Amino acid sequence: MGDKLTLSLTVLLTGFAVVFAVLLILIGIIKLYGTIIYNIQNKGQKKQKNAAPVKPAPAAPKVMEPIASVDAEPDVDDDELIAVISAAVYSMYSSKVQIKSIRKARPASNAWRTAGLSDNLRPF
Amino acid sequence: MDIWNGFVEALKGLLEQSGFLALSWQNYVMMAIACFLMYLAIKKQYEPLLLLPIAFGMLLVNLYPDIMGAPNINLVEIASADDPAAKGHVIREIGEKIYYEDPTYGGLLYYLYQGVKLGIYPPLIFLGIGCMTDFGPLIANPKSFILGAAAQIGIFITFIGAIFLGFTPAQSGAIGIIGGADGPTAIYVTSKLAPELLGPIAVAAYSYMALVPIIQPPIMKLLTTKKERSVVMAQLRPVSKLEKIMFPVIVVIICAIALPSAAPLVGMLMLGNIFKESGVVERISKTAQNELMNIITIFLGVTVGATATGTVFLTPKTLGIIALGLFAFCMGTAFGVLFGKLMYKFSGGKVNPLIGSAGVSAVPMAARVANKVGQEENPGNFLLMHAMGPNVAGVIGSAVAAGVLMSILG
Repeated sequence: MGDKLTLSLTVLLTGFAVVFAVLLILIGIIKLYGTIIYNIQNKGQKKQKNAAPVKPAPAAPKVMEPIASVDAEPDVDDDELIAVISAAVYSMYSSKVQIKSIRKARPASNAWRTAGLSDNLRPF
Repeated sequence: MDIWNGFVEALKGLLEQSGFLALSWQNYVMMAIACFLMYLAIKKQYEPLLLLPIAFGMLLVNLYPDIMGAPNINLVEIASADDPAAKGHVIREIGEKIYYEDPTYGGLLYYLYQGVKLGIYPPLIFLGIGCMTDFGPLIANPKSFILGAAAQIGIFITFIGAIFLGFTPAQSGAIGIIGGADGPTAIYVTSKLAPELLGPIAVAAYSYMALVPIIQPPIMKLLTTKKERSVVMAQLRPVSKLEKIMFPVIVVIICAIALPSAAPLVGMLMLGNIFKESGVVERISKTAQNELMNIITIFLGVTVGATATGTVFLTPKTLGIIALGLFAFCMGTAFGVLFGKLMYKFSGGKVNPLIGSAGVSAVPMAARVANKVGQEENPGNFLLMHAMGPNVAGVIGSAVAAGVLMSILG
């Protein structure tokens, strides 16, 4: 009985302490390197901004190339389409992107299109 | 007449070999249990990817136990070493008698089972999981690690319960790990500490993982107030690619140095993750998370199921394991939520305690449950990404807890 209790409490205490210690160390290190990387990347972006002060849209350092004009497709729901494309672009490039116009791209060549489709659609 | 006698003898031989005479009542009960598990996997879709092969393995081994039979060497006595029957065999002399060795080979599943026994399959499954896991929410909010750690307390409390119910320390460790809600980790630890309990523990672990949406919500609601459940959390910051690439390297260095016995599981998980995040080995990443993982899942499921023979499974111990497994799950959820409440208090009400329940692993089901329970209070509250942080932290936490158990009890 005494042995069981001793072993139980040893395992409980060791497990609790080690799991928390390892994960707390990880929290510290991830926070630290997260801050460092964030600062470095911010500095890099500031430098870029300073190097190109004559950019037409300083609030939007990364401007999407105008691939499109929505007028090209008059029969679709423009607002909804713009919202969907903006959301997709935002999720890929974050908020520092400004969409100036949207135009339907020329259809890709058939072989590439088929390869892409089959890669994404085949079940196995 | 000779032909008739031969025919009768052949039929007798076949009958003696057949299951009608060779199988015991326990085998038939196990077949019924296997069919019930198959029903749950197919009709109810309870973790079908693993439960179906497990159930079929269980059925196979109870129909034909020799399919898990180990290889053996029979010694056949001969008059002299020149005996033509001994040709090509190893001759042995024991005392004054001479024998030749007649080896019999193991069953199909015996050989496939070596991957479980030697601890090969679970880390390979972890490799695939690593390729599929996005640690972004955890990197964006590293405090989630606390919740991932808190939910592991259930493992150690269940260990105490198992010890006092009469299980050996090693068996108790293997039972406790069910509370980690992580199938491969549970199988890995059990194969090292108590391989004789592999069948019941695997079935309990995967069944409870499938039952997360039923087990967790009552505990979550019991321990939190309506106000706490309604907390809407601030959006997570975007995580850069460099941070995501550095994460697996840092985690593996820290975990493997602090706890070498957790290195196979954490190492493979992080190897898979760096395949994914580096973006330069897409082919390997695709293979690890699809083909390789599917192959291993088949082998793992069938052979783990095949350890559940009637004589091993149909004992009072199995009932104890199933009860303790449920207790472990509930305790893990409760401690996760309680630590979530602590974080709610310390953050001034910015953390929704429901995300703590996702710390038990069971990726991504537990995170979905946290999201769903949160939406019952406020349909516009999306906790999924916040709950993914503790959820993936729980996977690392379970692997670390497994390392602790193996180094103390192994």
